[in-house]
Amino acid sequence: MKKWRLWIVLTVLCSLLSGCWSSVPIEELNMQIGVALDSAEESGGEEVANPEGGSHKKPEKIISTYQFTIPQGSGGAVMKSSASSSSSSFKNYYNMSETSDSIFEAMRQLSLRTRRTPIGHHLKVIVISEKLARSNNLTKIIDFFTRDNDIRPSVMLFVSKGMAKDVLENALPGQTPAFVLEGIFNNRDRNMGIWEPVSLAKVVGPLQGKKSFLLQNVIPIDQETKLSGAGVINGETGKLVGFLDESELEGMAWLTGKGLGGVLKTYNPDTNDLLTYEVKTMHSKIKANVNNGQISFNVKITSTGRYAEVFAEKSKKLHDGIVKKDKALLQKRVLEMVQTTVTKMQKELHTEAAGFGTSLHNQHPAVWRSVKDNWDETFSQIPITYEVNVNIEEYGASDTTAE
Amino acid sequence: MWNEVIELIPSWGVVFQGIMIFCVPFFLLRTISWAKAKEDRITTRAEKATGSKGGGVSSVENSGETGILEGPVKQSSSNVVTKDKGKRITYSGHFEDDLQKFREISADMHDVNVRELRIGSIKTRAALLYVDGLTDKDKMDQNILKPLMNAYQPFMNMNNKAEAKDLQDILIHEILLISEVELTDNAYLSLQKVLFGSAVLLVEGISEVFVLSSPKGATRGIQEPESEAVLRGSRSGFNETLSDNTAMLRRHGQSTELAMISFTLGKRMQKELILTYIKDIANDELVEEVKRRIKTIDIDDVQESGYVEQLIEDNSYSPFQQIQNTERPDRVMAALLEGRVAILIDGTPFALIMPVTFGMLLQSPEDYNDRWMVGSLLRLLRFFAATISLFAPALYISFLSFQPGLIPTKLAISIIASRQGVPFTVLIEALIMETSIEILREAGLRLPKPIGPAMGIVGGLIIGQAAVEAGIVSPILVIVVSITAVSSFSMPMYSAGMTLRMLRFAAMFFAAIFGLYGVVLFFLLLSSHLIKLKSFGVPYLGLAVPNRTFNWKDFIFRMPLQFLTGRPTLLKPKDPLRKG
Amino acid sequence: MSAEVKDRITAVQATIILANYTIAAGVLTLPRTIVEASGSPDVWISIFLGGLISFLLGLVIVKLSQRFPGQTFFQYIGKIIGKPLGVVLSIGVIGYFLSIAGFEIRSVQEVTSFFLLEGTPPWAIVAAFIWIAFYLCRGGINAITSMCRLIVPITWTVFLGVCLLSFEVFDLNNLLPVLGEGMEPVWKGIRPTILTFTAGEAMLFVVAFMDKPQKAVKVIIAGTCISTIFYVLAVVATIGAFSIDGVLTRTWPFLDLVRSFEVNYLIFERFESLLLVIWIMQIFCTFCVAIYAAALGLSQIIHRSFKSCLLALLPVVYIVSRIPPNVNALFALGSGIGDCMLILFGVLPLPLLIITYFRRAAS
Repeated sequence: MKKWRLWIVLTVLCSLLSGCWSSVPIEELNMQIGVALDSAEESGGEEVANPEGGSHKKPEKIISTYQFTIPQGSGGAVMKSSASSSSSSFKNYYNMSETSDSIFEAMRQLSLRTRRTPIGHHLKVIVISEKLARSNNLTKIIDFFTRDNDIRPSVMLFVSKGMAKDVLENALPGQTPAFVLEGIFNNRDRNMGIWEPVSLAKVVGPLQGKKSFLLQNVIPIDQETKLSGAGVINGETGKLVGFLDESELEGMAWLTGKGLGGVLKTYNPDTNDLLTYEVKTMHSKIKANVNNGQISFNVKITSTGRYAEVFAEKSKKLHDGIVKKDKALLQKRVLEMVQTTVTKMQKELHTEAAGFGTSLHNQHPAVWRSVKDNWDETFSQIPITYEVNVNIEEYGASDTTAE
Repeated sequence: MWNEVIELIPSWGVVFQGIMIFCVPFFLLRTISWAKAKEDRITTRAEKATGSKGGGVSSVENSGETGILEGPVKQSSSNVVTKDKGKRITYSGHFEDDLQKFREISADMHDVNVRELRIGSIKTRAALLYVDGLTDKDKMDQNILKPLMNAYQPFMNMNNKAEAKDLQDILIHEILLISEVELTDNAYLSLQKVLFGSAVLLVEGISEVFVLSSPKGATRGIQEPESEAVLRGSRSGFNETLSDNTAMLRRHGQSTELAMISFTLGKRMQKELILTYIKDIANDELVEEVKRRIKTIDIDDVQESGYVEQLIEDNSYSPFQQIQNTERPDRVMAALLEGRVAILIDGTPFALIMPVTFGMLLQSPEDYNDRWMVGSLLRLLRFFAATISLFAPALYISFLSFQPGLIPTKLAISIIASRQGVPFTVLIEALIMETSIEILREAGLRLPKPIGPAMGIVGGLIIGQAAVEAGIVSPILVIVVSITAVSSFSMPMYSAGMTLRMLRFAAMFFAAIFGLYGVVLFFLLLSSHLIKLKSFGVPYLGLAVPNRTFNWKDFIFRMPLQFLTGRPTLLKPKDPLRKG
Repeated sequence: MSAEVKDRITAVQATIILANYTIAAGVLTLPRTIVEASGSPDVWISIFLGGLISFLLGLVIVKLSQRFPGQTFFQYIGKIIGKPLGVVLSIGVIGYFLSIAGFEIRSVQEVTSFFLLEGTPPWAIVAAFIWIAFYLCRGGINAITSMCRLIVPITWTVFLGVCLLSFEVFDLNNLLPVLGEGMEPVWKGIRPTILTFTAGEAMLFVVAFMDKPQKAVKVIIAGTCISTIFYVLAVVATIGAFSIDGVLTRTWPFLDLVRSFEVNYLIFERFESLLLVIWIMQIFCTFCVAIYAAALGLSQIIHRSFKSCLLALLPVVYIVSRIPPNVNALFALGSGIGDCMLILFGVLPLPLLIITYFRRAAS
């Protein structure tokens, strides 16, 4: 009498066997590691025919290029490919492009071409081309990526002056462009031209709050990619308004104190000799002063470091007098760079991306409330004073100048 | 507004699912209670035993005096279950009849010998009944035959035949040079005793016969226990003789509080069982409960202590063992000093310790013999190994099939590369490898010594490697499976390792259906089960979720001995402090 | 049913139940709801104040329960306001607990379906969860306590570890200036806090099980403190990483916090699955406590055995969890439950307490 109840239970439980609903074996996945977004008008006729017959209202189409890894045979099942199996000439990535104005649709179009499901867990970089960023609000472009469940907010964003696709093509043999880009940020303490890595998580806040920020610019050169300056995104519109070149970006690093290390190069005005200073630490403090409703800023920049190279006419011991003079030279150089950057921001770009607004907000919240709506324009008129202090701590293993 | 409310009313599909959610546990519960009811009809484990049902009866209670196990003359109780129902043959005192009765009931047992003699100066007839090979012949000759036959001195003042009472008295107290003497008038009982190694003396005129214990069978000496080897610690283990084992426990240290209570088990083959505990530490209720359960044992023959374990444990449907078994006397003594109770059974070197908690499964007596840092680290390592051996394949399945995002990118790429061409899904592959390892393990137990180690190497390396090269399994899986197998060997208790092996498969199934969520659910299910499990009234997971802080001192980290001052409070011992 | 409940738990166990019950689904969404209401980064102050208010509400309930030692709310409510009204109120409370249980399990299912198991049908996820909770709750309150104590070391360690790791993306500027806009946003932020901070009502029946009811006040202090600390940590870490503008755009802000950094020097690079694992365990405890309370109430009202009531409530919980048709409705359910809580456990206990004083004075 009781046995049929057991059978019911077992049958119901067996229904659980029908699933392994979400199980996808890992070897059938396509690991997405990089995405490049370009504007479709740039390409030269790469318009793929829209299968639905043009019911899209927006004219702007985006070319999405996805970079996937090709799994190499490592140990175990050896893939006996032909002579080109030497890893030096074997590409371990490949790119696929789709065109559509919806990034999500473009990604799903891929399933018409390959069986393997793309997963975004390991996505590392997104590169956006200049044209696309100038004409579209960044929020719209990255909306899909911030909404997806696979793609993490830790993905890094770049802009590119040329075609973003080309960035993902270029790599030395044996390397994968996306990994290279991700790994370059480890060099931040060697060069101030590398801005801090900006991930999606860091971008949603400023975009929503209409604050401006910088995105690293990456361009393809020869067979590699190179980080070169940064693109400035205006908080008000969310669009790219211009670029800071490499030295301006360095000035920005000095201004905000966000550099971790790098090179400061200057020339002795009398002798035209080279003087390079290695930055060990840098620090900047922005103080907002409000007098009768007039806002002004004072930036205090400090840095410690050491002599990296010193050329001089006569071999001299680097005693205090010389150090003092060199210090003044370096400080002057820093001042120049910073002023150039600020001028560009104020006069050309009309965008403030250096954290002045944040300082004003933190130090004088009431004043900030009154100016925050048109901050970028207001900033263009605000006078800024600077104080630079460079401390050359040591001169390395050689205590004389080179000659 | 009404439309919105109506929209909220669940659809039929949802209601159906709700009904299913109700039905499954409902029917499961019904089935379990039906099974339990059926069990209750068969066994008497849950009943309050009155003592006469089943086989366990308490014979004499040994008090804990030091020295020899000497006791007063024992009167054997009269409700011993006899083999034949109802028939009771008793001795009358008439010599010829008694001898004849004995000869009849031992008709098929040709190894029973009868030695007739006359006692000393009174020349009373007597017969000595014994089994060749079981009794100590020398002792019998020296201590029984010689004094009996040379008994002139005690009878000097008697002229005629003595009264039965007096004769009995003189024999026991002045003539028989034997330490254990029992009297019985039950013929079957005397036969049992003879067949077990005692010698029985039948004297004319006395209606009770004397059972003289002088057994000496061939036994194994004291050797190192094979199943529980330690590096540092005593190297003696129990053997099959009960008296040797109890002697080992007594010799551990001088104490007047070590109690040993004896029971007889088994209807057909009666064996002795000794329940031992320390009188002023162990909780009385615990001892009473154990005694009660022993009395409910109803079985033909107890072949191994495992039978007793299965018949008195709380929950036989749980994969976890609630009674610990060990071959080592030092482990038994340590447990007794914590307030636990131990059972020793004649014929097996494995003693039972109860109650058991989860922490004990991961502890080895070596932990205490070495210094605290080494002990703590080893225990931590074992704990970690237990977790790996339980969850590693399940995690492997869930990471590879459901959550590839959790693995580091470089590892993920190499896994994908190595899994190219493998025809099976992750679950099937894992099952294949795990099953093969289990088969290899079983086979390894039964291989003869010369081939055993070689087979291990062959099985492990070559077959695994060959499988990988043939493309049946992926190399990562081989690593995972071998780490799991090695971890499961690190369990100090073999039965605990077995449990984890079983549960590993269940975990794999959960992981295969639900991925990481399934592993979490499995963990929760296992914890719920362990929380509800009780071993003799003590919660199983007691030390893992300790009430008082000082119980933490002995779970994972082993604090220096100076700090281990208290006994586990869970056992509610009478003397909570260890020192003095 | 006998007038007193049989199991007994100690004060420490009661604290752990309370703390675990409070830290629930709200951890993932509180940063967003509180910033929506308040608009400033000073919401951590709101959380402290919210904890204080929650403690006060719980105190009233504790005092009420202490006047009837050994009896749960469902048993003594009849004595205060008469049987029929008591039954109505009890049914309200039972319904509240059922809604909490359904809300929690629906949150689990939503998050799991989205982040962990994309193709699995929701009924499978929920069914397995409910069955295991049922198995545990059959063991009574001692079993639930042991489970809470078992997972406390694991969840708290992982939670703190994850918060510390998120320091990498933490930017103090996002939390400044403190009180830049005055106290007004702080007051506005208190309301969502209380809605997620449901603590006091567990004391309705936990006090009955305590072996020393006079310690119940300490229990509620400790429990509220612990959960306040957790919520503050979660909110501060999230706002520090995303800034208040960013937090508003995230559906599950705390989870996105964990997804927004990668760690290169440990075994795992990404931690969100780990966080989800402990979060699921935490919600399991909350769910068990809620469903235990509901079943206890039902069994004490209709005088049936606890275990059959528990079984009977399973499909009800499931159906409640399936009622919200979309995720907005789910969040609305959450706020609705919070409002109910304010009425049932904020407004009501004080008059009840006063009535008991009068009755004592009268009799």
